[in-house]
Amino acid sequence: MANVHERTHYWLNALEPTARDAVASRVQMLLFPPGIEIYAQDDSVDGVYIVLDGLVKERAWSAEEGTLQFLRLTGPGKVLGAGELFSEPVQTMSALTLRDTRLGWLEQPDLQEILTDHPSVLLWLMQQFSAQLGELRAALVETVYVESAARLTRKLVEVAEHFGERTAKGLVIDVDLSRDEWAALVGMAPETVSRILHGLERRGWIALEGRRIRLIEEEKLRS
Amino acid sequence: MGQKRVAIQTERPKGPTICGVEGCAGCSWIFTGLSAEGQQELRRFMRSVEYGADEAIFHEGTPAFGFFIICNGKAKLIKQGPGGKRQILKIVGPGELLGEENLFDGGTHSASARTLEPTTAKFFKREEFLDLLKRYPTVALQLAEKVARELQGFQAKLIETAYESCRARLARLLLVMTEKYGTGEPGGEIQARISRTDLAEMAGISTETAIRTLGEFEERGLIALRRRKISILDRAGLEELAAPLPVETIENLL
Repeated sequence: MANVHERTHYWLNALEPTARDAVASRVQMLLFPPGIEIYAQDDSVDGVYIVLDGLVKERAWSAEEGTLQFLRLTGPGKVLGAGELFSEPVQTMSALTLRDTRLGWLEQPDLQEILTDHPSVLLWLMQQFSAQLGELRAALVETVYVESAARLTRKLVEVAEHFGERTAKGLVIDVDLSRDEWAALVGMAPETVSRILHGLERRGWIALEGRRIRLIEEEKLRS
Repeated sequence: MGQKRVAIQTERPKGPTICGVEGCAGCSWIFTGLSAEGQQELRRFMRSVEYGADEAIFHEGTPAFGFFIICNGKAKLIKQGPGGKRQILKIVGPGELLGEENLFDGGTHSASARTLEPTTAKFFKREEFLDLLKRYPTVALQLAEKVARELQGFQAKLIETAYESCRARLARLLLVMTEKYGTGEPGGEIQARISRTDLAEMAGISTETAIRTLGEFEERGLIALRRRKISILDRAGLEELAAPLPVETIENLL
């Protein structure tokens, strides 16, 4: 039990002691290597997954053309699939591990019981929704008013800061994302992403090393 | 390619009348199932506030002390963009909530709210409402569903903004607005005084583009313009223009 408490400390600490015990007694620990699909878009919702360690990409494709439209990177302390639990019978996005990832899984019937008995867990989930809503609204305003190159540059710095690795040669984003996926992450066409990335490389601000991106001129990218 | 259709989900029936005023059409569906005792409790700590037209209710970045339920009138939720530009996130009318998304982070308002017309609202303090939610899980679960749906609505709007043309976005916005604020009759006006700038800031396009596109819609016989009022004349024609992205729940977008 101590191990579960330790692994879930990101969010268990925010809960009242009785709620914490109820969650710790029901949460199941799952460990996935990179490249494993946790669930697919349109799968039925079976509970919520709390990311404890690692990194997950959530992706949504359009129903009509099957094109990738939306991508979100989700790291430790965040939940997967919680919104759908309240509003949809199926997952609206797929979730795939990008690194060794440890998840705490609360199966739907257990979660429902916990939410009814311990409202503080529900309020914690709502806090997550509010944060996600804030991020989406900020992204919406950026998409409308900030030009593509500035938007992609900001996203590079943000991803590098959250999920990158500091090396002697600069901050490296070693996250397995294709150009199409970078495009879905920032909401622009893949051709635009390629053009901007190559432009930044020609200036010597970044180095494109396969799917790895190394930030060379961090200050310039931030300005 | 198949015919483009715009699916518009109908609004949910309103919940109980929290204020207790006779003739009130009721509050948001999140209060459906709240016992008479719970309603009484809410009524005890609500405070009435009145605003004139185009008056600030709260400002982005200021501390969020609670949330509002609109009784009469309409208000817009606005997020600041770079260089003083603004994006209208949604418009809320009678029975709907305003500022509820900042109840849980205990921080600051993530957007500003301003009235579109003279508006009466009830204000509920954050601590008292959160305490009530703990005792009435049905309302808490329904509020969770509302915020979760709003999340999906904004995700859809983000995709729309990134990939759809100005024309498609404006056509979809008009369809959603007529569904929510229309008279229900063919050719009826949208019952909301929305300026061209407001429309542009809702659709995420420039005012000039909004004016030009509305003129084009009018020339094509899709809409009729009369000062700040817009009537939809050819709904099918607008649906054809709106790209095949589904229009999410009305309350999420407006």
